[in-house]
Amino acid sequence: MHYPVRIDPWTSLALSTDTFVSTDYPSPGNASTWLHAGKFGNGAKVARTYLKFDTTALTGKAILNADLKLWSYKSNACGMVVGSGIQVRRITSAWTKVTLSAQPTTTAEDAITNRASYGAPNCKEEWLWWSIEGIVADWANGAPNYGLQVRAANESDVTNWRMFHSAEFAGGHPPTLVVKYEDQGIVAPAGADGVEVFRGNGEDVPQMSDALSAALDKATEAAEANPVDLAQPYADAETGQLITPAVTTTGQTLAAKTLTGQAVTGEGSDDPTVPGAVEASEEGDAAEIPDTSAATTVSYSITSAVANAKYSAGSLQAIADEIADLDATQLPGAGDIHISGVQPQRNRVVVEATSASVEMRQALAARYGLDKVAIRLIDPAQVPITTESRNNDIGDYIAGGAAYGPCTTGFAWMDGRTAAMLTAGHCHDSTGASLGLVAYDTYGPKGTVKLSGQSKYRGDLALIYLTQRKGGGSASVWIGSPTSTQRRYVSGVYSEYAKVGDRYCVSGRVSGETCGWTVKEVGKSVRYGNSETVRYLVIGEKSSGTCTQPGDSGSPVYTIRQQDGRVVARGITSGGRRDQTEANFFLPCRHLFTDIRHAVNAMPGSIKRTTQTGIAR
Amino acid sequence: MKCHRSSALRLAMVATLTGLLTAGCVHSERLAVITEAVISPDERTVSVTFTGDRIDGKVCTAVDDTEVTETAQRVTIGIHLANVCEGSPTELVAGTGVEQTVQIHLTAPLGDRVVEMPDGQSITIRRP
Repeated sequence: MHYPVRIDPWTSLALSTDTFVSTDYPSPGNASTWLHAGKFGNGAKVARTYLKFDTTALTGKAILNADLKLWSYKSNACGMVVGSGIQVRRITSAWTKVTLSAQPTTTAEDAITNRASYGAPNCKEEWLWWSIEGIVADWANGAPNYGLQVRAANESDVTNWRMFHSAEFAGGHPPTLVVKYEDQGIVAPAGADGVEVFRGNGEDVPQMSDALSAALDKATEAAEANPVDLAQPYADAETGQLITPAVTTTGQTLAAKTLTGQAVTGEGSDDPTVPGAVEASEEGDAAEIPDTSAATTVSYSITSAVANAKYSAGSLQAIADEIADLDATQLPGAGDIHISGVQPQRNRVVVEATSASVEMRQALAARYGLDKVAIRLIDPAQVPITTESRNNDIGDYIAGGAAYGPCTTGFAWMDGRTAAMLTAGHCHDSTGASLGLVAYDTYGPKGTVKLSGQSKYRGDLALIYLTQRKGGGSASVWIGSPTSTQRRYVSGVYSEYAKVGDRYCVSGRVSGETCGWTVKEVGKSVRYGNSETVRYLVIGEKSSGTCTQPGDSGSPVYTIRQQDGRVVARGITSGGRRDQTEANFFLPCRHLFTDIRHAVNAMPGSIKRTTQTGIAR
Repeated sequence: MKCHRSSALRLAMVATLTGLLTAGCVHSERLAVITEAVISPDERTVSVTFTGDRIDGKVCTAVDDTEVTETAQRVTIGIHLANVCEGSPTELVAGTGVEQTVQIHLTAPLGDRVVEMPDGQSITIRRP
């Protein structure tokens, strides 16, 4: 066995066909120098582009990332949101030549839409990106590759089109599909050389129902309360069955309990793509009752299955905590270990490391035994680099609380398979973000605006698709000073709207992490000094210490879980008092933020969360 | 050195109630967060970049004063900011950050000395 094992880098796949068909070109060949997709001719005409890439090398591989890039050199309008956008779909029937009347079938499953638009006559040409891991993974898992269709996301649009360079265009920028993949499975089994080494996609957590999620929280609390008798519970990825492993006979009785309670529902249930916007008048806006309602709940009653486990929750957590603190004198290669945590499904601790030497494997085996710890080899690009800091978060992944452009990042978000970042809407009134595409923005030139298809105002929020970050977002937030190199992990979103008296923390690029804030008012419409009105903000105050600053806009607002140090998202920073530095007797610091419940209800998808605990380095 | 409005206001209020005010103007309490320092080829000029405030489209922070302390091991750079925008300190605003730069001159070449803010936070050095 050779170490360190390298993981495959990005691979650009060979393009085998690119063509388009449209009302104007009903039976084209494959030799045009351009490609066309969308709606034009006053809604009467349609264009669709068809692409095929050679994916034979991907069969059976784990797809880590896949990006389709098309060079948008001409379009009907410029901007981050133009029409319904252009959608990439997986084709599901064979074809060699397309005509307007004979086109292959497609599926909306794993389809990805990019609403941005570039190119003449109104703005510069630029790549448009589609993050199509889902489609490429379908092919890798055995679905036949009949290619990709590129079309208007909603073909009822009147005008919504882009033109792209084809491979035949002499000036470059051909359709490009870059893919990152790796082999899965055990690299080296546990044995004389030490503990097991494996590779695999570590963050592939199945989407859980609200009820199952609430029941798992309760089961986890039970394991934390009985660390000797129980092991860490989990939801089986295949069946969705909640499983609580027990170490002792007492534990078996505890684990067999039926878990009941109220699960909060409605996260992401407001679909912003549903048409039929309610455009209220200014008078109607003024009379609108602030949305301070709590999310709806559903009763659940879930019986956990009991499994026998060898190691208790307490013993495994103690190992995970200890490994995080070991240095190179105690564990060879400790510097290559970046994350450690319990893998409940396997009743063991997994450390994520960029290399796994025999010395490291044997040292872990000597310290903890052969089956208590395993090493997951990870791509160096997935590692939070130690030289990275809050104001220098430059890697493939970006966490919340980081400096970017004019503001601070909030919380990593997932819209389906598209990695995104939540931040403040007012940071992006006219310009795009250095992070990627501003997909949704609740803040317009005069303050809060309703998102298309939604009837409520949602404060000051933007959701940015992280097209400029290969890895996407990290489910963590920077803590400490503006130059801090430490982060906390994100456990999820708070299940209720903020209430007066709630305490919280803020973590911005300028003022760093400040805690001790108290909610003073909720659901308020606030008129900022420039006459922009932001609707439904939470207002907090702090009577001592450092205040927030304008550059902290977009930063994460959160509480910290006592039991594991993970943060629970409460909101996104919007504003504060003009020219505040330190609180004093006469003028406390004021802080205004958008409740995270508004993001949950307004934005598609959900916050990126992780079961990792402790402080990330 | 300019005294910015809100400091003066706060100090005046404190003075009225406590009678402890002895000077008309003091350092602004706001220290800039320095994001990067670019060193010139002769190692004596440092271009310091920090995050200022932009409110209603206006840059509202200006360098009020700089303090540089040099020892054999370290260089401490403090950038004190003043507010240069009109507006009541009780007014609520939603601003953003804005990158601002100021040049600092050293009495000796920087060499391998570390560069810090007055509160001990390290400053990232770049040599172009």
